[in-house]
Amino acid sequence: MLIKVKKTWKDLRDNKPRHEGTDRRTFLSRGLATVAFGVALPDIFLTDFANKAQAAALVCPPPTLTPGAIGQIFSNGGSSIGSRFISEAQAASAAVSKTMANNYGITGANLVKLGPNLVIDGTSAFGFTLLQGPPGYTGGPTAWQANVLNKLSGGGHLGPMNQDDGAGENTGLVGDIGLFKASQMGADLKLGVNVTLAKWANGLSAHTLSRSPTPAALAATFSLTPAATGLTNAGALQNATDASNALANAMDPVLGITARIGGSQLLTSAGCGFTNNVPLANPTYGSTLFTPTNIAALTSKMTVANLTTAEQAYLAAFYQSAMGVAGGVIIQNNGMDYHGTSPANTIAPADIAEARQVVMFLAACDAAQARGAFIYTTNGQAISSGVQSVATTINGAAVNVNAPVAQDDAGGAYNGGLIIFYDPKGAPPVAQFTGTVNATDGSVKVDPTVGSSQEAMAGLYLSALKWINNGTLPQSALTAMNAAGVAGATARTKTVLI
Amino acid sequence: MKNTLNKIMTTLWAMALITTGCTGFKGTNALIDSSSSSSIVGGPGGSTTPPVASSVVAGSGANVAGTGALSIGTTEGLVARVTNGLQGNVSPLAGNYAKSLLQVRSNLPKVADPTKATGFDQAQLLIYAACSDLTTGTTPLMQSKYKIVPASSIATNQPALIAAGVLMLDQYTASLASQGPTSAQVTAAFTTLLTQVSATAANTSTIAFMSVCIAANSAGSTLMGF
Repeated sequence: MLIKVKKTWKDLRDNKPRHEGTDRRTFLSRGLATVAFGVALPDIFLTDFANKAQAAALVCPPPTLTPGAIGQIFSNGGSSIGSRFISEAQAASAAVSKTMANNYGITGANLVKLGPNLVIDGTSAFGFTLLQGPPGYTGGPTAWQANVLNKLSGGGHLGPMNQDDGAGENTGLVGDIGLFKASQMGADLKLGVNVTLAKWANGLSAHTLSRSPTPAALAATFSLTPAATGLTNAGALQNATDASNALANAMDPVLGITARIGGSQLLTSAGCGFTNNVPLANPTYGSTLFTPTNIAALTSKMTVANLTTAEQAYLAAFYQSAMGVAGGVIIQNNGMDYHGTSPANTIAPADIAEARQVVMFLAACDAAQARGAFIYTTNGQAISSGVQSVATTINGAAVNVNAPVAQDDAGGAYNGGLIIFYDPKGAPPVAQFTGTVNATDGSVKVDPTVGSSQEAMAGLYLSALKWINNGTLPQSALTAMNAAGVAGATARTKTVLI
Repeated sequence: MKNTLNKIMTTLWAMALITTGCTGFKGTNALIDSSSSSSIVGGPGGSTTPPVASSVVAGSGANVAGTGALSIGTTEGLVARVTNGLQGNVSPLAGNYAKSLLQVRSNLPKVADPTKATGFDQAQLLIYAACSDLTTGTTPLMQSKYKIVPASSIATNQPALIAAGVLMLDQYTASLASQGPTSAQVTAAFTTLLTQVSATAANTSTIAFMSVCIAANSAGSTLMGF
């Protein structure tokens, strides 16, 4: 039976608590709280943004001049490095072992000790060229040898670069200095470098030029296009740089730049990189630096005009490194895998060209009266079967030199990363060679503590920096190398050669 | 006390946004460069496994949208950014822009990883050249496009100069420079720049415009990544 009950509106009301009565005081307090939220909260929020937007100003290393040149040749391919610099121990063995001398592409009978652990074959294409010095050097080769070559020492890591030619060219056998050595430019000069750098060298500031640089090309790299007149000047360009950093800081809270991996480093690297452009607003900045015929310190020492344009560029670059304007100067020489080629037409010219680069380095250090450290690496080694007399011209004079008869690849037998030190005061550091040498055939074995080519490269560059830095290892370099997994404290005891 | 209050307010604000369905700033996502090689996982339909922190490498792209590694524009990408920043008013195929590109191309950043890239200073040199193309001719583009009269003083041109800088930076930031929460700071940066430039009596409006142009485009193309 369905029973209908008549319901009224009263029955249909929601059984909800009735609204409590609100007095005026309570109403006002709630309203004020709402207003406070509505006004103060956005203000607090925006203040937080604003505080983050006005982050601390970018701090860049000051453009100080740290005298002292650092240079590197990466001989890409694997030359007969036995005919470059060798240690006193290697020299002693080569003098008595014809097998070893032949393997190295030297005579073994004409060894000249330039300084502690630094020996060359005075008749080799490389060694003879080194002994002659630059054209027109005041006092000739005799003075060059007394004033410059007599102030050298050598060191190196034997054995860790044991890749065959070509196989090791991208294994990080090229380094960089960047800001490890404070310089006015805050950047290195890389001439023809296109191989993979050592891990710790990635991201370091550098200007890269072609393989056969000229003073004009160097100058153009360090000038503004178009010319600054009427468009900017050093002050305005600095202002613009500061403003770009301020704008990045302003947008950081919105875009989360520094919250992301690499963001903070980007702001520092790029922001400080912009600052290095400020001197370029001077229209004569580049040409003043890199036209060696206009640099009195160079023209008073040698006949700069008789150098090739590439040699003039090397000389100017090394000089600015020595003066503290530039960081390091790194040269990549391709085509050095010259085994099986003509000693007269290919090997001797290549060896002479590399020796001339070292001459330019030393001449620059001499002119600047600054310390120097020069690193030589290669990704292989061409074993020789002896030497061949070759007629050539050095400094305008017809001479005969002994070129290696390079036969084949033997990077596994002998390879190394070498370093020479120059002290204008004649007290270069006593440096060591690591690794062991077979006294019969000259083959080498790497020191287990050195181990890898990466440790060797880090050690070579730390040795160079330590020399330029008057005995102190730059913390920035250590930090970068440690981050790359090399140059820990234990490794450094063996890989830093001074 | 103030810090505690800030945290409380910020939490409440976030909760309110979530409740109302707002997703806050989408600027970062909007700025992901189409040329980036990063693959974005996570989010609707993607993997929900959070990445191992060590697997996120600078420049290799983000495994989690909105966080992770930052990438930068390289060579052609950088050139395109600058051209877009100047709204196509200059061309890398003509004028000083082209000449400078010929010189600096090999030195521009080549890798997207900002911890490995070099050549940032060269990017600024390229921008300088591109900006200079806006100053040439009887009625230069700095006047016809950005309303800056070369013959007038910096003070007279100041509003237009600031507007030009903000407009250029907007091209890189999806208008967040002018409309975002830090727009006041952006304007302040340009104002400070012009105060500094005008402090040297010999500096003209052309020099001021170049300074604004260099600042905006250097920041936008190189300092912000994607």
